Amino acid sequence: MVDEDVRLMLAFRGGDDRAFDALFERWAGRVLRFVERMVREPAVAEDLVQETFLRVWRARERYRPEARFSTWLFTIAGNVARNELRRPFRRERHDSMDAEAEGPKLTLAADDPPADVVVDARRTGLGLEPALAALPERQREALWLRAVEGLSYAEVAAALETTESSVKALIHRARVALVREVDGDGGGMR
Amino acid sequence: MTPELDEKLSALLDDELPAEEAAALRAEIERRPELQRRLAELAAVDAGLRALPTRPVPADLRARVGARVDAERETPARRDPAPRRRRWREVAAFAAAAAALALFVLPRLRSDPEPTPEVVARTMPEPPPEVVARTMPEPPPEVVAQTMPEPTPLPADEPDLERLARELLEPSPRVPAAVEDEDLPVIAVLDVLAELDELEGAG
Repeated sequence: MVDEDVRLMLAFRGGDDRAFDALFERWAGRVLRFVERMVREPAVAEDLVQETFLRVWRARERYRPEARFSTWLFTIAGNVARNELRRPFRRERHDSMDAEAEGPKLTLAADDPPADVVVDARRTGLGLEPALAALPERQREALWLRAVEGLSYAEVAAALETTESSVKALIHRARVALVREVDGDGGGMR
Repeated sequence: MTPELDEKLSALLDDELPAEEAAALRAEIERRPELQRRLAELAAVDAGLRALPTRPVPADLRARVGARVDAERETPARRDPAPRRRRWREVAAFAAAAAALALFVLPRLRSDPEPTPEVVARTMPEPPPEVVARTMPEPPPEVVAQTMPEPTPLPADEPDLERLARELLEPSPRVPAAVEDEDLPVIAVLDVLAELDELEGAG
């Protein structure tokens, strides 16, 4: 049975522009969520979503259903995001944002709710977002693609153009760093 | 806990351990509460990432993609620099051939009032008329006289003109065997052009 996204992409390749609309509807939100975590600027992230789908449009005739559509799409989105992060001006801004992300530490104030509630809250957003932002780029990308988008190690390796063993190490290091950060015993990102 | 064991827990969470190794690790986790706690910590990170807030896709984003697609449909040629580059190659290649002719062949031709037609034909491939017009304006005779170096007299044992031309056109090891003789004068220039392309690409 053909995956629905693959079916849509093949229809789009065959000239059905409505299939492109359907793919955009299905995936734009997830691509936006991914590139936003990569570049951390909403307006830039929207531009990158445009660029990603423009590349899908350009590549439609070369598309071959050899992998899951999501793997192909996130490979494109990852390349687009990494290109953005490598722009010289962008790098300067990104580096300064890294410094900001490392700055403020989460602390428990005296009138905070009970610790177990706080820990859950911190893990589910308050603490994770800046900690995720402070991860090295490849750790962040690998962990996101695995933990949120459900790509396998092999698929993440294809997207990052690296090996599965490297992906395994990247993901593990990312998780360890996040656990350390949200539990407040790491003294910041290393 | 060793870093290797910790990494295995992470891989177990991702269902990326071989079946036997996963079974053995699960058994060990059953026996060791600290491994259970560690696995829960790692799993909580993933759950937290999945629970991060998301914002809706801006309503006009699809239209913005459509506008870029339309723009690209209207100007598809802009993405292919090949035609411009080919024209530049043609001009440069013919200029190289002309330079080779001026530097090496013409002085010798002037010492030999009757060059054989085949030597001229092999040395100077017929350029397209527009290339001639752009690259080789016919200079007045006095300019030729001022710019042409005086030919050095040929020693008695100088090889004949046809052999000189062949030596001049001797392919370098970088030239593939399939290259036609008439392409050879421009090979060196094409190498330079390739480097220019690389520089242009890098820029």
